[in-house]
Amino acid sequence: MIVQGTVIFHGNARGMPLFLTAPLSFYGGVDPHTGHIIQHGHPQHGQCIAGRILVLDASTGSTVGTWTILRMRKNRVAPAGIITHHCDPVLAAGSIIAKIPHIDGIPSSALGTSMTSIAGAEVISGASETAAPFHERENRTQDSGGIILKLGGSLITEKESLTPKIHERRLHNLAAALSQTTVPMVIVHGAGSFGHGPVQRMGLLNRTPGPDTSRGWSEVMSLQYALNNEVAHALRVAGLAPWPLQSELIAGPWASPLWGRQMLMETLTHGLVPLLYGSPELAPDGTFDILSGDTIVAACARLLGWKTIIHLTDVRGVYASPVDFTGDPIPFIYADEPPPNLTPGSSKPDVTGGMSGKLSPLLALALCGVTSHIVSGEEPDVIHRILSGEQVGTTITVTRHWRGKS
Amino acid sequence: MTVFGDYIQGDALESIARGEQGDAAYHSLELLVGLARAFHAPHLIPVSSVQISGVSFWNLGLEGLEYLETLAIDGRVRVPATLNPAAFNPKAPPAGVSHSDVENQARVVAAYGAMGVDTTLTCAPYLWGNLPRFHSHIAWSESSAVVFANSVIGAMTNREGGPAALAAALTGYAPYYGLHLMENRAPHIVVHVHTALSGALEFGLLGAAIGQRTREIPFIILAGGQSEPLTEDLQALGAALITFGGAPMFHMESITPESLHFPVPTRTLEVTAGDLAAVHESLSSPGEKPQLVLLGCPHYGPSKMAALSRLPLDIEGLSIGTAASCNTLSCGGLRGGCAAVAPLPSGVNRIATNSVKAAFYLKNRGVSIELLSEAQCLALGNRSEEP
Repeated sequence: MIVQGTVIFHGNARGMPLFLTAPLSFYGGVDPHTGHIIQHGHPQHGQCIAGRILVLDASTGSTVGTWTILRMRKNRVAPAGIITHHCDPVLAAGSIIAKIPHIDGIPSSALGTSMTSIAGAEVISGASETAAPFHERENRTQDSGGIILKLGGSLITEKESLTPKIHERRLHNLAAALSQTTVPMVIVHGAGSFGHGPVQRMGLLNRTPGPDTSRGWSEVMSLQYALNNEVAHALRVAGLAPWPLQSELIAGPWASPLWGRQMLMETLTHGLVPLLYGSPELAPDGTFDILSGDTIVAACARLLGWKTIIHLTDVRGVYASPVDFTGDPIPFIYADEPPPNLTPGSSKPDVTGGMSGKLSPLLALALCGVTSHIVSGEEPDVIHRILSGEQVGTTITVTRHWRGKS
Repeated sequence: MTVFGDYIQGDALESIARGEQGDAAYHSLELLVGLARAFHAPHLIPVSSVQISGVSFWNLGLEGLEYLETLAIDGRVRVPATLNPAAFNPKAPPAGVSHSDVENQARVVAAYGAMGVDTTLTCAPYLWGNLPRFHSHIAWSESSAVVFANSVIGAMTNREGGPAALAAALTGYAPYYGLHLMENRAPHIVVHVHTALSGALEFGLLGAAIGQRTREIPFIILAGGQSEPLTEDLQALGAALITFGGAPMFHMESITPESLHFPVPTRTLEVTAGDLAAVHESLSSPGEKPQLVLLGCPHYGPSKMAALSRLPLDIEGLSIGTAASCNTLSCGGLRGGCAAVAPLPSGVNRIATNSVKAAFYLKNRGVSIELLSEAQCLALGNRSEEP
């Protein structure tokens, strides 16, 4: 469900909604050090708003509340995003100076209670973060820009290896192919055996945070730097100038859409290839999570307004169940039609969703005019063929009326 | 540039939007455009005067202080701007305030000073050199000052939050909505006052009585037969009106400058002596002699301070709110402080005041209040009457 509102502060945010059923005075009503609601008699008294999508019809109280919101942000206990029906100037100024994505003009009754995302002027209730459309509409009218390439972790690493291991041949062949690409690119790579194996082996996603899990996440984080270094090296050897960027600046709860976009644009202006990668992230609520390459790809599409995503994977596309990798993949998946019965993904271990996890954000992006291609990274000349209009692998687009449809 | 959309009109705003005027001005423009979008303002409007609240370190915290000090790196005011009082004046801190709080409060004032804000520290800037003209657009934030400016001066301002007012000072613009538009300044209800009022206390009681009953802009008719209200009477009326939930503006027949601009509303509200007595009773409780007498909420101006300085007043036990720049009376630690939220001397739990606004805030802090007229308050503080 997508609901449109008025942007108070531009940005993307995602979190579980917290519905306030009575007006809240931020000054005196919220502890700026902990994010807990302390307003006497408030129905949500005692709840913590840190990291939540705060949904409230109206706010009230002293103009000092603006400062309270800023204090919460600086103490890292601010809400991830704010959705209001009739916001007052105190709250509006607070979300702007604290840089909290905020949309006004949406009644709380219009929203569901499941995971909620804010993307520019739109709220996606009960959908994945990557369902977000572009936050800058004007980009839609520009040409399709460059391409966002996702190098699947299962392609560039030995994904089934118990220890982190690069798939040297594939990586270097791929780097050579990418160096022939003439359009601007952003490259995002997955973690493969540098991420999924270690995370699962240490059981990090299922354990309560503590010194052991912190060390585990630290190790996983370092592995991503190591993998990224290898990928950057391979691209450089092939003649490109990759520019590794910290993914948290582009996607996830800490990202600043304005700066993220400027940083990407600046990098591209200098002939550099922005190089991003999935990695662990420390969420504002103090929990560890994984910022997946697929999330980053979607964020890049939104920030840059580019219309083409190419997923280079170790399979030739998306297959209907039951899987038969010797046959042909599904050629087209349309966002405006019911989804086909899909395989749960390449049968390799994956902590961020595999193929089916990739698909739903791509369908949501398709509704915003972004076409995604899921193709084999080993198929020769595949990028050039896609850019010249050929249908390869599986194409995910908004409707049957796509130009490439036979 | 696109992030600001159509709000960038004219060379001055374009230059800020391009970042040529520095980070503080750019950030301020972000804030103002965000507010303009939120309140459907069609554009920003140049302002000629700014008054900024958000001075008390206890409200700002170290985080707010850091925000101000960051803006102070390259932020400079483009229009005259003055500062609200803090809970206390760091140059004359009351006893019992920690050294670090005094220091941090001084840093807050210094950061504003560095940006070129006049650190007069007063909630009545119109009496201390920041006097807007009729129908000029301004951006003020102190609530009692906003009512006074809109109503008595006829200047046009919304009740801006502290950061928004500062942003207006650093850019020279404010969002054009609300009370900046004539059609939003019309009265919607007539208030007939059926008793003769005298002094700040009674006008404050009237403001509270109206504010409790309507949020609409009132058209007040003083029907009790009386002399023209003084400036401090109108200050007290406006301060109490907004403190008790009323509109940020009032009209008063043949007194306020816009009272002839609009048709007189048809709906009416009757206020009697009994209504004022009810407000008085809800705030004031009889009891022992108050330990402290508090005057000057909202702040007095220079002429009033000069008059008070000629009286034989016992300074112990008397607090008079006035601007930090006032040197005519050494007034018990409240120079540049806020009478409503100032830290109280230890042991003080009963206060006499003529201010309905101060009574409201002090009562919420658990202080027993005796609401008296100014003359009665001064009598309590008169040295010659002490035994």
